[in-house]
Amino acid sequence: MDKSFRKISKDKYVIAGIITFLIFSLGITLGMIIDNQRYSLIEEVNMEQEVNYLSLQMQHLYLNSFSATDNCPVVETALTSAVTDLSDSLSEVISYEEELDTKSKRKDLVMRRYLLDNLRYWILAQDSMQRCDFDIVPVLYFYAKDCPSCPNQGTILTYFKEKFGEKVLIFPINLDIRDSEPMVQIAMKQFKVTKYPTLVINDKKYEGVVSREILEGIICESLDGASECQS
Amino acid sequence: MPYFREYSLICGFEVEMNSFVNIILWIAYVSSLYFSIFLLLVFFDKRQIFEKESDVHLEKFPMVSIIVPAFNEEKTIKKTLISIHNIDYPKDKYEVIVINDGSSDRTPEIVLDYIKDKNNFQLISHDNMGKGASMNKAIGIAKGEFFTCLDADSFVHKLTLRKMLNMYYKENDPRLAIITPAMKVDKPNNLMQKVQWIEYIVIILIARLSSHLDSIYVAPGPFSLYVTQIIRDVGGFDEVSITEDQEIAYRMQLHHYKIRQCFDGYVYTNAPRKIIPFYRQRRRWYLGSIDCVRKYKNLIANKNYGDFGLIQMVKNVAGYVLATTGILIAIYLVIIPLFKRLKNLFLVNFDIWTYIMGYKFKFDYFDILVADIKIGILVLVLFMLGFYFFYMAHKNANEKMMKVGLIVLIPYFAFYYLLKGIILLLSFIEYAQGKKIKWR
Repeated sequence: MDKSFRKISKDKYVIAGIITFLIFSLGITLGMIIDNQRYSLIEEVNMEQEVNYLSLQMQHLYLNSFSATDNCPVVETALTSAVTDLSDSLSEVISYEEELDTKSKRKDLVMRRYLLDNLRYWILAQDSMQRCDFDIVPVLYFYAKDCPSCPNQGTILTYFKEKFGEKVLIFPINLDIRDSEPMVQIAMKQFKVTKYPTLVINDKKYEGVVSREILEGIICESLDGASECQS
Repeated sequence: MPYFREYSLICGFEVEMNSFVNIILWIAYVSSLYFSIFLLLVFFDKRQIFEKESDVHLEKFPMVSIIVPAFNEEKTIKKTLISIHNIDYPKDKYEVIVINDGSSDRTPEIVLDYIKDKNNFQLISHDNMGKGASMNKAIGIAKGEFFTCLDADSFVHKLTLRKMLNMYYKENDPRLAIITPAMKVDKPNNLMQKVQWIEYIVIILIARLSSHLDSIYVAPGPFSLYVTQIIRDVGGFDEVSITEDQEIAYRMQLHHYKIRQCFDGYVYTNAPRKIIPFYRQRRRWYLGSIDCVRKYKNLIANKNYGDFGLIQMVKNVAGYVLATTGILIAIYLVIIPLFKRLKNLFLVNFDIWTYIMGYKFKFDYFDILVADIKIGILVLVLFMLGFYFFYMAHKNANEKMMKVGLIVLIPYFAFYYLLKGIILLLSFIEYAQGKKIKWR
């Protein structure tokens, strides 16, 4: 049968291809803009954190220099709100960045910055607690990406954050950046971290996943008469 | 909101799976976008010559044979025959051949009772030999220059035949072999039927566009009009295939015959009400079409077949491949996180109350920043195109947008494709196992 009626709509193939490409490029471009925005926002938050930390440092210094223990409540409030703020504003973005596989200098710096912020707040908390009687439990949490049981620990810790609010302060230390951030190795050596996940609560090290029951026991022991502990 | 890494890893496996899944998703979205835009271009291109309504005035009245193959259709066959009897066409210019394909119910009795006073109706009975063979037997004795087949669960609009014949004479091309109808679901009652009603409306528009591209690949059982001599020339229907309506269309394409759709030649068909008959019907369609594509694989990306080879065949194959992988990915993306959530709840002794108490609705700038805009844009555009097609399809079929109610849209867009995808996946598995495929 004569097939001359068969036509190839060449122009439509080409135009459809061009339009698809344009929409695809639009997506990529917007993605890049959003990426930039994300990093600018992180910058902004970091600047705010710097000032908060400076303030806290000053309060701590004041505490030490003048043994003014009636400043304790102020310091405690400032500390808990600073740490909560750090966590609230950045942890979601940090989780997102961790999920992303791309290695970039920017991402590396963001991760290091976040880790150092957590670490220095933790040190400040530990030090302040020697002088003041804070109603908080700081938890240092070592984890890494290639650790299968870490997410379980993460879930449990999140749960305690929800339950105890500002009374439980969690400082996550991502061991993946140990090659680019020297403080990670130092912290690991100090607490002799070999396995992960590892928790450090009140100078005691807990290796492997700490279950909900045991963790609740540890936390409630430190907090006297907390309402969340009655169960 | 995850404060800390909550999703479990199986070492590096999930990382690799994630990239693989992402690539597949990208390919799926980009190719869907391409095909949709292509169809949109066809739509806009032909829009100015889209007729509003087919002409019903005929100069010539050729002899037409209407064949009704029936297998245990006692519930609907009388209604089918009545719709034929009501066709607006001279009674001496059409004959009706009802084929009782070895029915075990009251079908033959009902038919004989109805046709006893109509001399252009006849009934032929034989042992069950399948639809294709029944059709061929009828074609052997048919007197009509044209013949149509009307399934015993479908009813034809009285003007459809006129519109189809008009189209044939207007086209005036000896290569035109088949004219396909515009199928609608008859009186949708429950959700299942309403969802299918929407689906068929959309198919009418897509078939109309395919018709312009000479890319129709199925001549629906209910009331497709065939040029008798051409069908006889190619050897009649395939008696082995379980979807002889698809097979004949592919064969027409193979031999460079034309197939056109009569966009307002309406025929109403009963859609399955329950999920098991629906599964059986779709399974038959999918198995048949996989078989046809395999049989006619030489047409894929074949330039000699114009747009049909280059885009329709490629789309058919790509569509099935993507749909199957899509379903597997959907399972991966939905079921697996669900299991993870359950596991997480188990770790905290299912104390959901704490989460509920601590829940603060927070949607700020960050949530936008961590969204995947790149794929988001593609999905958004696809949705918009989908809605536009959806709207245009209703206009094309002369139906109001909300005929079956707004509430049906949710299952249609959300679950229906998932359901069809699962059936497709099962059909693929069945086909791959190579068992002999039977009609039921």
